[in-house]
Amino acid sequence: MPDFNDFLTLFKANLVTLGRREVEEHAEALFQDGQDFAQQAEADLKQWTGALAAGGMTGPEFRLAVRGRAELAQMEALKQAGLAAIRIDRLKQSIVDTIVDAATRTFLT
Amino acid sequence: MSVFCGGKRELHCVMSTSSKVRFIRLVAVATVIFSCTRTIAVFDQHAYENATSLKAEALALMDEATTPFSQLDAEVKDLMIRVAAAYEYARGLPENEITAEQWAILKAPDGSLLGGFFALWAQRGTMSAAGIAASKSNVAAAFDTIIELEAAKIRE
Repeated sequence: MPDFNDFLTLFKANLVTLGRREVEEHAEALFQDGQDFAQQAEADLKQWTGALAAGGMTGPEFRLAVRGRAELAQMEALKQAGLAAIRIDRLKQSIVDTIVDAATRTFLT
Repeated sequence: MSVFCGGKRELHCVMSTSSKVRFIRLVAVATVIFSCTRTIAVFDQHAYENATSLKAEALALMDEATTPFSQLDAEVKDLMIRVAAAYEYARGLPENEITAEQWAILKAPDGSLLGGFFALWAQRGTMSAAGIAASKSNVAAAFDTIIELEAAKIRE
């Protein structure tokens, strides 16, 4: 006869797998996003500095571009915060699904 | 009920059928409450379309910045009104503070993205091709942060 301990064991095992998968997948994506952003910023800054030196871009335009890049970094950080919040919601949903699945498998089969 | 199993004391809750039903009901209620509390807004098709269409229009208008601002003043004002409307729409959605803040940064006239670009254009009359290209890459990527976040939100 199934008991509450069976349910808890199954739930914990599923939860550990779920948590490990979430951390592994998203830590790598976050690192890659950060690297891409830094590389792009470096390339753009070189190009803008060259244009400023050659007289193709005015000082105020250069300042606008550099400050704009800093604000873009802020928007990127907000996006990452939003993506983290989405992951939390997905994780919550997965925990709910895990509870239901473990309860169903333990008590209804 | 607590019993001894093989000499080792452990909690062993043998459940009757009525207990099972009560337990499953409890799980169901708990999961509904748990899943109803969102950390961030769900996907909104209108918000997504606002961001994608305004991105295209904004970049097209920025391309015109070698033309004197006075000739396109009305177009810029019209676009910024629609950007403001998109911000207000995002701000009105529940649990959507992050996206609203993104719009606020993008449109701020004293900032350095879309609002700042139009302010500088208005102040200086015209912009250089290199200046336009530099700001366009920032503004395009800024819109992308909004679009990518909206696209990633959970669909209901």
